[in-house]
Amino acid sequence: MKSKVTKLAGLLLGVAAVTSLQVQAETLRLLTWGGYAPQEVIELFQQETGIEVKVTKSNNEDMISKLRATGGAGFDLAQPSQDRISSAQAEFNIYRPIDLARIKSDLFIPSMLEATVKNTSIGDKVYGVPHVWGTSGLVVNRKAAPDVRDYTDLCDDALAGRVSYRLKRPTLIAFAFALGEDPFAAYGDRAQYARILEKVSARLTECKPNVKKYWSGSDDLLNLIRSGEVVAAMAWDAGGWKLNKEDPDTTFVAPKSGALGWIDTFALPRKSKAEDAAYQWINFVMRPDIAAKITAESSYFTASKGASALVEKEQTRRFEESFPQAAIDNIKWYPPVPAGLEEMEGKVLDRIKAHR
Amino acid sequence: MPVLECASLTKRFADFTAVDNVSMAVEQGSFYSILGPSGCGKTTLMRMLAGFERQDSGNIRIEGKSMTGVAPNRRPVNMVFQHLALFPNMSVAGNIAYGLKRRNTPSAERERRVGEVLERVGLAGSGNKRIEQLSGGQQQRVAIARCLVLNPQVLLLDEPLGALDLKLREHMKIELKRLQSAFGTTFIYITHDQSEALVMSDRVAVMNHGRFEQVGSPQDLYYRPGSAFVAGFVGDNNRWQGVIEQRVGAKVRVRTEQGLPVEAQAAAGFQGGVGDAVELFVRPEAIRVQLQDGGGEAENRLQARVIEIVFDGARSRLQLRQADSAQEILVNLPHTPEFATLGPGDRLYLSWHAHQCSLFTVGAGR
Amino acid sequence: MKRSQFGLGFWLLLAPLLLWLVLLILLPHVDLLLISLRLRSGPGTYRFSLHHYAEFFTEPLYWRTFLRTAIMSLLATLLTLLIAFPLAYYIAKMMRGRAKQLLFLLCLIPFWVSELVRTYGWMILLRESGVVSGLLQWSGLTGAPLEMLYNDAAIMVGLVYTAMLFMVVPLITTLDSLDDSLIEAGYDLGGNGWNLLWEVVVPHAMPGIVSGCIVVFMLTLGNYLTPTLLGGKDSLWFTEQIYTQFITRFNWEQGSAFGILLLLLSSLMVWLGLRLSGQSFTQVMGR
Repeated sequence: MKSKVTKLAGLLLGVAAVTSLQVQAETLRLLTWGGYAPQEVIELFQQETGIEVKVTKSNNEDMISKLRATGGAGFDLAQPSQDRISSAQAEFNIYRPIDLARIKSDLFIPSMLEATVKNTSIGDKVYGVPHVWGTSGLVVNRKAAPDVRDYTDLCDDALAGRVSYRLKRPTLIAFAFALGEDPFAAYGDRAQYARILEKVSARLTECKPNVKKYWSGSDDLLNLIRSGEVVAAMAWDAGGWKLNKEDPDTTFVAPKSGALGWIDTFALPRKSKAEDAAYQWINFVMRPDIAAKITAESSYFTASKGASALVEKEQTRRFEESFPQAAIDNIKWYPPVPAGLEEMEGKVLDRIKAHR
Repeated sequence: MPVLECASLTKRFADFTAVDNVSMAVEQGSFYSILGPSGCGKTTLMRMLAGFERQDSGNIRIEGKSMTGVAPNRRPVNMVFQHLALFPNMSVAGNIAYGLKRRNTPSAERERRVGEVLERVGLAGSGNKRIEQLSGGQQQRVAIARCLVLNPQVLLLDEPLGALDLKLREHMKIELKRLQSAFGTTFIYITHDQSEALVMSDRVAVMNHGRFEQVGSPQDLYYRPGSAFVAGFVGDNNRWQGVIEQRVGAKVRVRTEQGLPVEAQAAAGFQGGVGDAVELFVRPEAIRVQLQDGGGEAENRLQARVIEIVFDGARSRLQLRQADSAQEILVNLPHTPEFATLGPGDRLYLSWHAHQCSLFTVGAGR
Repeated sequence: MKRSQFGLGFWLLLAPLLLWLVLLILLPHVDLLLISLRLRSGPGTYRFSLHHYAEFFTEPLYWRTFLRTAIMSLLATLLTLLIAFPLAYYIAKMMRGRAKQLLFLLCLIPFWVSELVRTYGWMILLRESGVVSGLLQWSGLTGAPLEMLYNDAAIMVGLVYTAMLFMVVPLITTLDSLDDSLIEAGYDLGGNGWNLLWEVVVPHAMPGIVSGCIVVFMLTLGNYLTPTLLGGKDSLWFTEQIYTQFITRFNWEQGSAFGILLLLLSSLMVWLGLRLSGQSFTQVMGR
């Protein structure tokens, strides 16, 4: 009698184990940004490997919060920005190191891979490899706001109630550069950084009446610009190029003080259950043909070597119009954020928001 | 001059006429009842008097002043509602003071008058109680005091005893009558309970299908019903269908459908002749019941056997059947000792006078 | 033979309720409290501290937002009551039969879609390129496009709209149970509309008013979507602060402290509301 029960229980356990193994083997839970995993690419990947990809759209803060809440479980692959990895890892221990031997490194633009690996390392452990890169700058309707050349031009009286930006750390950094400071150089010097923040805060507070609203999602902003309610904004380059397809007057402008360059990475959550699938996905989407598809879909460029040759001409034209060589050289790439800075920035952002 | 007069009041709702051409006059200081079955239009009539409904035609005058277009809160009448409608969130005194406050009576005088009226209705000292702390009868008295403290010309009462149990209702009938005569206020009282109307009223109007069937003293209605409806509605009655067999002046002989010949006396104005169909009413309490044939001068004398004894204490009835005609007759059970052993099948001798019968031709009404 | 009143069946029936209360309500709040009372002393290490509560009281931004949220919620509750009361009275007392059900249903219809969609609806109406602005321009009342979004009035409109149903339903229920003859009696005794409202109708409807106000106040206080979407850059709602602390700042400790403070505020308001109106909690929630 007893043995029968044991057998039955064993059988049930076995079935459960097999099913869960199958689920693990066949699903990749991807925590990423909108546009990074187009449906077409997901389908191609499934045809090739039989692995199903489940996408959760997110942003930097949300990714960290989600992974923090579960101690790094719930997702098999995440795509945080390279500057946000090491501090989050040190604080919350939510990622596992990446085995570079399992990455086909010849698919990557070497300089980008090298920079990202360096920025996301703690000791000899590497936590990120690059995927998509882009910049923050200005999206401008050149007819309605012809004089917008730099971030601080958004505060021009002529544009009162017609501009928008996010109330987040990139805006603080951008205005710091536009006000002639170098916030990245001050990362290591809290007092200096606090002084810069104070200056930026004063400017942004002064600028607040000019702002129609602080945008929160990319679609939100694009709609404001499409309807003409907003004519100039600080935003991502891809958004500007997307609008340029619909209306040639509107496009992305690299600001005088420099566009802010970011690289979004691949990072493995600490409790990832489909590590193999994650590596397969990375090596798949970095193939030039696949990377070009992603660029075509989202207007974002990738760290894939040789993909730019496959991107359609219009896309390249838009990029070159926004980025003359001098502007490319002037891109300010985010270094890793030391712990503690974000708390200071948070308070400044709160105060700007509270000012009436 | 009557304190309240109505002339040709009519109220129609979408598909029926609730009050049909009613006229009435109520004397100052009298207790006037409107008695009728539910749906007869008495509540609508009262709501018109209070001002909650507007008449389609006709006129209401109180103390000679037309009430047309006068809102309920400006009429010199007050109303005691069927479920009393005491304000549950106010104390007893608060309820009574409500109307005085609306008249801006100074608070000292208000308190004095509230205390006075509470004393007069026998609730002295209960002013601070909450409504739900009072018994049904006490609540009744608060509802009346709440109106009387305003010294209305007329107090309207909409079946206020309906929700009380029997014992309390009997008691409140006396109480109401006593209050009315103590205050001297004119009461207009609506009820479907003929006993309430008979006990308390100076005058009673019997209402049916939106019309007044008969207006008179309780004795008039009981002894001299003006229509078959009144005879049937006021008090209990044996109600027999029949045909006139013979008529000599006021003396009429009727043969009932079951074949019982009955001698009756026609009221003044009775138009029926030989062969006419009639309804004949004899009150159970008007029939003399004897174990032996006692003789006497009663015009109607017959024998009958007991079918059933319907025991109801003082109101116990005997269901009898006359031997020759199979006519069933209802009589009161006398509670004298010789009837104690009465049982089904026993023979009884019945007799009643011709003038104790009421006679109405069928269809004509009166 | 006599069995205990609290037998096995009793406990089995009670179990789901207890589980629900403990697992989904009690535990998270206890956890919230514990998190709010610790301070990060190094990567991944914490110690006990009231720092995050002190932070709330010393940083004007936080307690001002808190106060603003409380006052705006009170105002929204009051406005909702003022608008809902005549509406509920009309439906409960003036309407009969089918018309009554139809009107009641009309009140429900907006709640068939989610709060998000309803809020977007208001955004479409009020935004500069929106319907109202367009109508005003078309009718010539205004020359240029008019921005009606992103201010406190827009937040208020959204909050009142969102909360309306939760006020109308308890009001209709209590007003429905008000015997018409009470109103007639008051009228008959010389009262007019105004003092009847205050002395008869409002006292009777008090449990409904209080329960409606409690629900609306708590919903408004805890609302996140409406103030954020309709308030734009000046929304400043306390739940937004909590969200920011948890999600953007990774500061769960501060967020938890805020959460506990918000819980205290709403409990205090419910208690005050009941005290001031002389109602008991069971009486009000029984409606």
